[in-house]
Amino acid sequence: MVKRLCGFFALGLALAVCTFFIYGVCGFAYAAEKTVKVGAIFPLSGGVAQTGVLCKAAMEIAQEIVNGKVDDILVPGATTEGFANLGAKLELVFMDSQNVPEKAMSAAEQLITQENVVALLGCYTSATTATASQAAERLGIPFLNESSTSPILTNRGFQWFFRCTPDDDFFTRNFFEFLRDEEAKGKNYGRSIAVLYENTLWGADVAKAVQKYAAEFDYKIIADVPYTARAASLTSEVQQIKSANADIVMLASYVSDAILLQTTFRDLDYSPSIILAHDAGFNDPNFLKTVGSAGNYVLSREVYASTLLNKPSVKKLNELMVAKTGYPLDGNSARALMGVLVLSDALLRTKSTEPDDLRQALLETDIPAEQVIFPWLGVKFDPETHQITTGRGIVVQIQDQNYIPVWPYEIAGADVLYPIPQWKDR
Amino acid sequence: MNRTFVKRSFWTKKNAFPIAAFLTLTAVALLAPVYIKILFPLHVLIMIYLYSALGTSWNILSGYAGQISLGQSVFVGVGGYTSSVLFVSYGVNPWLGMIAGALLAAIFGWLIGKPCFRLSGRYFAIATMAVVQIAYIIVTRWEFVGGARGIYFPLKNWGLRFFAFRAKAPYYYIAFGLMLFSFLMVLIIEKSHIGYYLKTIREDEDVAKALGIDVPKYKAIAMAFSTTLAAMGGTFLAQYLLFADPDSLFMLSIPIMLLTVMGGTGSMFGPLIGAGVLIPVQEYARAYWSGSGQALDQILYGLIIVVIVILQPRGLIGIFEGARRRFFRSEAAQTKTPQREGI
Amino acid sequence: MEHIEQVLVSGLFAGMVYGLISIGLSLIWGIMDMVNFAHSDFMMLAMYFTYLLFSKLGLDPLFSLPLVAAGMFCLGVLTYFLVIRHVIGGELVQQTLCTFGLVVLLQSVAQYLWTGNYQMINEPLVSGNIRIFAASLSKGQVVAGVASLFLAGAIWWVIQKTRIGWALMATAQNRYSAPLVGIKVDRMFALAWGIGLASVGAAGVFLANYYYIYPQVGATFQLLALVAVALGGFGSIPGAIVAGIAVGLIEALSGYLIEPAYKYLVVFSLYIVVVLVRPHGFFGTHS
Repeated sequence: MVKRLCGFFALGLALAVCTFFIYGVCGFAYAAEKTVKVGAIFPLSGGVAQTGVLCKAAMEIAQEIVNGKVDDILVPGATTEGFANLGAKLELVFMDSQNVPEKAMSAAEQLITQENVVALLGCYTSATTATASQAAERLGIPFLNESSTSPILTNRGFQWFFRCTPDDDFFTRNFFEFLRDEEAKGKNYGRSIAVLYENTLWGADVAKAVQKYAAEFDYKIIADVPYTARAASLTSEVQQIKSANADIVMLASYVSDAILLQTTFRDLDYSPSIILAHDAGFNDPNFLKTVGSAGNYVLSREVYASTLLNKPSVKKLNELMVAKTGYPLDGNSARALMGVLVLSDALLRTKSTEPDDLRQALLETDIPAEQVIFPWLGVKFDPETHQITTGRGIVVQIQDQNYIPVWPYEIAGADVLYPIPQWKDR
Repeated sequence: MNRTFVKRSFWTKKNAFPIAAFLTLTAVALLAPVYIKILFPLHVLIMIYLYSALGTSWNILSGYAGQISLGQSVFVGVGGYTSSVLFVSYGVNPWLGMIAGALLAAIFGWLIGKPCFRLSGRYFAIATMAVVQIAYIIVTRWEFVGGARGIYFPLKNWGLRFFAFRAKAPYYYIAFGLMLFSFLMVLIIEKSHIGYYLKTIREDEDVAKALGIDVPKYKAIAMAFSTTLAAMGGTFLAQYLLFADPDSLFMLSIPIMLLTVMGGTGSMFGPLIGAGVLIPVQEYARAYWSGSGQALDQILYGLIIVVIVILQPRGLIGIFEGARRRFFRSEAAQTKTPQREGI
Repeated sequence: MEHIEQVLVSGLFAGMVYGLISIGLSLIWGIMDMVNFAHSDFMMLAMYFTYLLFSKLGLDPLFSLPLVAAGMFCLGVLTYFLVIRHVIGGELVQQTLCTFGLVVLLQSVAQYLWTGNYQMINEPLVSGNIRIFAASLSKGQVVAGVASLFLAGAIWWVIQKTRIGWALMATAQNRYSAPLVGIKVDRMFALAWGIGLASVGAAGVFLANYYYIYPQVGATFQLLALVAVALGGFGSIPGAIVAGIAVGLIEALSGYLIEPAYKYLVVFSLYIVVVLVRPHGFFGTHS
């Protein structure tokens, strides 16, 4: 009986395969409402799927804002419906990178050659962005990256790659500036650093940036521990950090390892005086949801904090996100949202959807600070590297399971809680 | 050892249909880039040819010689990384790099095979899994070969000399050529005593030893063929992606094995058929279904594998051979019983 | 070196969990001569069941253990009759392919049903730390370790001392002669799958106490379990536990003494060395 069912399944599958192949080869285009297609590649399955899914949801919110007329949110594209200059609306086409660089590259090619997208957005993790943007560069299509922070991405001499988030170099420098400012206020956090980072493009680049700025700001790195991402246990790694007994512990992980690290800290009863986390996993809503109060006291670098909700646009966007997904906006999803808006801003100014025109429009981007949902000076790209020049980072601390900005001081919501108490005292 | 083998002629009537089909398909395939203007199907075809070649490399070792390896990707990685590192760090021409990669992979294969061939089936399989994990960890931590971040090729030198192209068509022909080369390898093996010896070793190693076959030597020969082909595939993949990282070159063992077994091990066209089915399914399912994040494309992939294994354990080629047998039933009755295989 | 006790104790208890996962794998391998590459993914399912029972019904993992184990037993039998039975006579490649297909299927179905979000059981009955000598461990880990020893003992007792166990052993030794003494081989295989999945299900329940749950969580444990089974000798229950502990200790020690990124390299290299020297592992008996 099972065999017969399998037989039917196989037959149906064979038919489907033939249909798809023919469809693919002949490339039937069915006419619908005229749209401008933009590809978005994110990890929608695999280890960082939950971040990818939230980014996707945020981007869909942005798409609705661009295509509809919204008065109470002050962002690019809100007041117009679609792109009047192009006579079309925005259509985001998502594809799963599975967080595998080679699949991201393949997805980029698919989107460009099969779906005829005019631009690409994505891909969250730096390794997948690197390959997907390589495909775009080869095929001459603009690629706007909104959330990958490895510095190398804008140092490749690419013509078609744009990035509207500050990079790790910038953010890491923020951390040291924060430490310096705190010291000026009389708080001394010590001078020795232990850094634990995942062994990928992103993590390795963060570690390099830490080394560079530690030397510049006169800190000593006494432990440098790379680990294999998504390991079954991180006990040895945490043990090494614990033995080093540094004043400051820096962590660079995506969300699954961030969760494991925090619980391992608790299991091994290790509480360093201060933890500086490099964004990514530690800012993901899943982190606090999973570890709960064990996540308190961790400091992280961010671009976004919910206390910026005093900006009415941000408050409204956050409400939309919560309504759609049950999660608030966070640094990653907010940047994904912003990416769609930045690209839409360029699409509103471009002469046509031809790659060269769109590229020119992106180069001329100049979004004022009020229309950006982060505490940035606006959005402008460096003419050579296409890296955003007007971004700013902030430092937040998890206090009472909330992300509270503690730096820069003009937007700070509280003082830094230091030192982190021992586990038994929490 | 008596070396007078009864040679089966290749050009028999029974083989007429496959040969004609093969030639027609080859002609169609060679002309494909001319009339397929959309790049994505070309990409799918390139992947089919590449994985067919990679699958054949696995097939030689595991299908013909019966040494089931779950770590074929280690040779793909060695080949791909060797040529990439030589090119990016030392400016060595990628074609030369391919040869260097194949040599290095063959040496590795010999080093691994020597101790591991003593292990029996399942233990050997798990040992190969361990080997590929070890290689993966080393490469991920080794700065010289790019470590975890991988190797990114500078996008400036294009052309046949540099094995890098902006268009897909040249890659298409090279991949096709690689696949033909893999068929050539299999033909050499099948039509010579090597094939017979390997099949004997596969069926019963003790009998093979008793008959005087130098088992380690022939296992090593199979390994040499297998690793060379895999390494060449690795170089191609690196040049196609213009990117090499541990995940894209060292983690391919399972897909390679999967599509070969699905197509049919121990047969020349098995990998091609398996690739021809699984890869379009994977790519198109991802195109249409992955966007929702519900992993529907993966569910489909898993179902297909399980269904085909249940339905036709000998792989898809079993379906073809069944059809052929039925079609030629009258012919088979007339043809004399073919000469006995083997010794 | 003053943290060496922490390393050893952590490694020991982690290893006991690896051993627990490996028992079922070893059993299936020993009785049916089949490697189940999807073993840890069934554990992932058990973890999700545990989580669902906890979040929907408020049932603590300690109490849902018998439910989940029974459920996994039925799942094992079902899987055998629906899928495995068709490849049992086939070659190694078919069995491998089949179980790899199951891996993809299980992970993607889990993703579909429960999304890729990480789940964790917050504040189960067994939570908090405990101090053993100079080392600190989560209580969940300690419970898992102790439970694994009990479970191993229980399964070993069933195999060695009951009629059903003898029937299983007889099938393992010679499945072709077993029917001659009235053993229904098909049922024995189904039973092996049932017990195998029930034990890995139990491992999942205990792991759920302190580990986070997501569709790919099985992948991190699978190769370690395979290595443990091969090291211990397939079919040997004590072998699986001993080898599991060995793997855990080696992982922890090499991570601490050498470098965390290399810890698995040491584990796998040692595996290859041991298997070359002693092809049938520590306690393996079959040829």
